[in-house]
Amino acid sequence: MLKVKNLHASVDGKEILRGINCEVKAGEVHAIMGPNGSGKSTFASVLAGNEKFEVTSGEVEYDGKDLLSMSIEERAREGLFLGFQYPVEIPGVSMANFMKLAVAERRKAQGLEPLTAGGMLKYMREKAAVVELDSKLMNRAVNEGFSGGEKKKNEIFQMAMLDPRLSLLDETDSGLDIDALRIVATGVNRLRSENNATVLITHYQRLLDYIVPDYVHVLYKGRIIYSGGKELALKLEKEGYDWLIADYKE
Amino acid sequence: MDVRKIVLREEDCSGCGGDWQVAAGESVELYQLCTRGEHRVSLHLAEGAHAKVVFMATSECEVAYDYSVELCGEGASAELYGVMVAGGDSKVRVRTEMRHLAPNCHSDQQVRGIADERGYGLFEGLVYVAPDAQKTEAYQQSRNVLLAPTARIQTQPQLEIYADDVKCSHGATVGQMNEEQIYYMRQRGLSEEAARKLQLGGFVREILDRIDDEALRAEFEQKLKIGE
Repeated sequence: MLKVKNLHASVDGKEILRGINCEVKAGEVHAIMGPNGSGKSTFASVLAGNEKFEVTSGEVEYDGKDLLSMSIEERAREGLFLGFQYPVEIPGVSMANFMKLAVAERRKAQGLEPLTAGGMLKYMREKAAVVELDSKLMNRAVNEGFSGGEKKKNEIFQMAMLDPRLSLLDETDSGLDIDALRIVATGVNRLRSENNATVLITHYQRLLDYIVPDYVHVLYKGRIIYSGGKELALKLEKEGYDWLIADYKE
Repeated sequence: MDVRKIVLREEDCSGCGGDWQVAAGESVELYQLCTRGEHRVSLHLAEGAHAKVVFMATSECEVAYDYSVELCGEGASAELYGVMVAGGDSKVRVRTEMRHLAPNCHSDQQVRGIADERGYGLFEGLVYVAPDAQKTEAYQQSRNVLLAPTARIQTQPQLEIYADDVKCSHGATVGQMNEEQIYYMRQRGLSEEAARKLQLGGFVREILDRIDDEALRAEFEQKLKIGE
């Protein structure tokens, strides 16, 4: 589904990604871990098409297409979803209206009929229940006045609404208490299928107790320096990154 | 209690305006949507009277609104909400004078400005508090966005306060579209154009939500071209 080859990217002339290689197949869950500032969030942003970053070399193939030549919205419509580390507040724009427009675009790309107003309402309630999100929030402005936990649940709610092929969840666990973490993780697990894939970007092993990854990668100084199975996360939790970093010669 | 409703549309006011007395305890709502000419509106509020003004100033050439609201009787209150939109080569000017002449009066002004292309918007807002208008509460906010480097908006809030026991505040900002919001919406599949339109709609939503009458609100939305 996703093939990343020797991806380099920079911001303001400073190189952040320095040759990333990885492959994600349908049905898989990957976790990307690593110390602060290693480029984890940048990697997710570059895949989503954030124009703040400049891709200087490398290739990304997504479902057989050249991802890097697609606009932000084309990527989204083709099923690439980014769960934001800091979800953005949009004053004056209601969740319901925002989702109506977003779902219409996604369904069009999937070749599905548009939902009726009633169908949309029902669909929205059903998906809000997945993450125990109060459906009253649908009448409020996007993320405005939402608590930290509500914002993160709202990201997973939107993920459920948009039925993505590939979800990149950027630090979705940060700032969550244990109950909210469990709810978010349960939501993600319920959305897992053989047709989609998830990439979790996280600092902590904690999230991986709830969402068990097939692969764990360690990103350091803009490169994946080590990959392993789910047991790698446990080892990192116990021993930190020092043993890997000490081994790693630039 | 009955609310007196006044709607000033293009055809009703080609370069005029009006002068209204609001009697003690009476409530008036005035809506204005004109697109050219100069318009002067004066309201004089007696004791306990209330006035709400909602306007939209947009033009293909030039339009100027001039509001003077006098809070003459104790306990009167006034709200003034509006949107200014200047696109193309148009000039849009709004002047407000909120005159607190009696104690215990309350006023709130919220104006949003949008300028695109070579459009020019000017907001001049005065809050005057007379020496014996103690316990006045007066608020004013002017928020503006520029959509093009050649667009201009000037905002000039002024406070003239001669009483000492008052609560007054004013604020003015001129900024650009929030690109983080645009990115977020595009990441959910909205085109850049749709995202910008939605964001602008959100920017003026707070003003439009002050219009209780649905048909009238739709008329404002249609003029702003932000209808859903």
